[in-house]
Amino acid sequence: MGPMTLADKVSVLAKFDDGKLVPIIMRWRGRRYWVQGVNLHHVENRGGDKIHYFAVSTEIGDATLSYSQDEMYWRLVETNFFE
Amino acid sequence: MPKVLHLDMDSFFATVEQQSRPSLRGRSVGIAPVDSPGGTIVAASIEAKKFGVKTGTKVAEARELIPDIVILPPTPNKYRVVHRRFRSIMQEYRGICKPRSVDEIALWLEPSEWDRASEIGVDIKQRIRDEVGEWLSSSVGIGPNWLLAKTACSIRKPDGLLEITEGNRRDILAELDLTDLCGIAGRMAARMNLAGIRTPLDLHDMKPWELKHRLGIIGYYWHLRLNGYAIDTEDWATKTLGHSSVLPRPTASPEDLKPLLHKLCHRIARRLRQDSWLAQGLVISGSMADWGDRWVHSVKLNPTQRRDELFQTAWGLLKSRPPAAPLRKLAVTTYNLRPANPKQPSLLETDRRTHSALIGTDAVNDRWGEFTVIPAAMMGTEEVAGDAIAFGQDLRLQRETLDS
Repeated sequence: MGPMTLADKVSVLAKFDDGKLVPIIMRWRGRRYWVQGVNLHHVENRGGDKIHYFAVSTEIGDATLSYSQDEMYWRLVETNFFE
Repeated sequence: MPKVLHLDMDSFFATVEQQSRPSLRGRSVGIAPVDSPGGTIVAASIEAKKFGVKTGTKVAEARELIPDIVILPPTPNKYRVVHRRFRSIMQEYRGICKPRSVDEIALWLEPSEWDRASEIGVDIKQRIRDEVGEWLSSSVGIGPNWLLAKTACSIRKPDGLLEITEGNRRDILAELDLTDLCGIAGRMAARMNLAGIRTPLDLHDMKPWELKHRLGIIGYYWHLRLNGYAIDTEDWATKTLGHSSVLPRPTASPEDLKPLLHKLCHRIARRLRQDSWLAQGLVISGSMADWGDRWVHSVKLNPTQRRDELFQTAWGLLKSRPPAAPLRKLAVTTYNLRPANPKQPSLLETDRRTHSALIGTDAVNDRWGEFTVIPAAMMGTEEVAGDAIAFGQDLRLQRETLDS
C-alpha cells in the first residue's frame, strides 16, 4: 500500500531557523507527533500564494505537511501512518 | 586533454520519492502516471530494477514481478526543485554547465580544473547527498568529450564514478556493444553491422578513410568522437517547439483525440508567446499502440502564435488523415520558428483585439496557474494531460541555466 492523501488542517509548532521555516511538532486528530527531520522541502506557486511542502519523518512514519503563506494554514496532505 | 564531467542522478524520480518518504527507502518503487494494470512505469527505483522492472514496464507486469511494489504518481514540481538544487551545486565549479535532461547535467570544465576532474566528481556526489538529500545517489562520468563522459557514466551505475582516459579508453570500449553508445540505436547498429563494424572498438581502431568509405561521413565522425575529439558543437538555439502526451488508453478516433489536441496546442501557443516566436510549420504525430510505426503529417502555417490557428490546422490534418491504428501517444510540434515583432501590430482591428485578449489571459494564467482561464472550446478538457516533465532536453531548465 502506498501513502494516503489527505487535506486535514493541523496545528503545527514551527521555528524560523537561519531563514528557514522548520516544523517541530504537529497535532493531528488529538495526538502530538514530533518531527524528527525534514527530508525534502519544496515550494509551489498557487496564484499569488506560495505553498511550502515539507516531507517529514515522525516517530511513527512519514508525512507531508503543507503551509500556505497567504492563508497561514498548515495541512497534513500525505501520511503512511496507517500502513 | 579537455575534460567533460557528466552527472546522472540514479533512478531519479523514484529516488526523490524515497528521499521525501524514508519508509520507501530500500523498497521497490515505480512511478506511473496512471496506477492501472495498463499504466506504464516511467521510472523505477534501484531496488525495482534488480527484479527487472524498468521504464516502459506495464504496472500489471511490475506487480507480477514484485507483488509489493509501491506505485506512485509523478510529482514534477518536486523533481524540478531537486534538479535546481543539484544544478546550483554544479554551477559553483569552474566550467560551462548544461542540463541534458531533468536528471542529467554536463559540465565542460575549465582548463585549470582538468587535473582535478575526478576529485570534483567525488565532491559533487558527496555535496548532493549532504546538501540536497542523503538518499540521492548519482553517477559521474568523465571524458575528453561529452559522448565519452556520458558513456563512462552509464558504465558505473548506480553511485559510480569512472574517468575515460587515453590509457583506459580501448579497454573500456572493448567491453561495450554499439548500442551502449548514446546515439546508436537498433537501426544504426544494423547499418554498421552490415558495413562490417561490430563493436565500438572497430569504430575506434579502423582507419578514418576506411570508415568513411564503409559508412560515409557518419563513420568518420564516430571515429573522432571515440578517439576523444570534441566535434559536436553545443547548439542552444530553439528550432522547434512542441508538446506530447501519452494517452490513458490507445485510440484512433479523432473525436477522442480532440481534447488532448486542444491542450497540446494551448501549451505550444503559450510558449510561443512567452518566448516571442511565430511558428511557420506544424507537425502532428503519434506512436502506435505497439510503439512500432509512427503516424506523421506536417503542414506549413501562416506565421502564428495563436492556439485556435494551431488547433484548426492540426484538427484539419487529424480529420482528413486519421491514424490507421490506435495511438498510444500524440504529439504536436511547431517548426520554422521566427522571432515575433511586438512593435508591429496587425492592421486588422479584430486581430489586435484577439491579441490583447490573449495577453490578458496569459497574465491571469501566469499568476493563478495554467488553465485558470481557457477558451470555451476547451471546456471539458480539464482532466486531460496534466503537468508532466520532459525526459529529454527540458528547454525550460536549460533557459534557467542560461539566465542564472
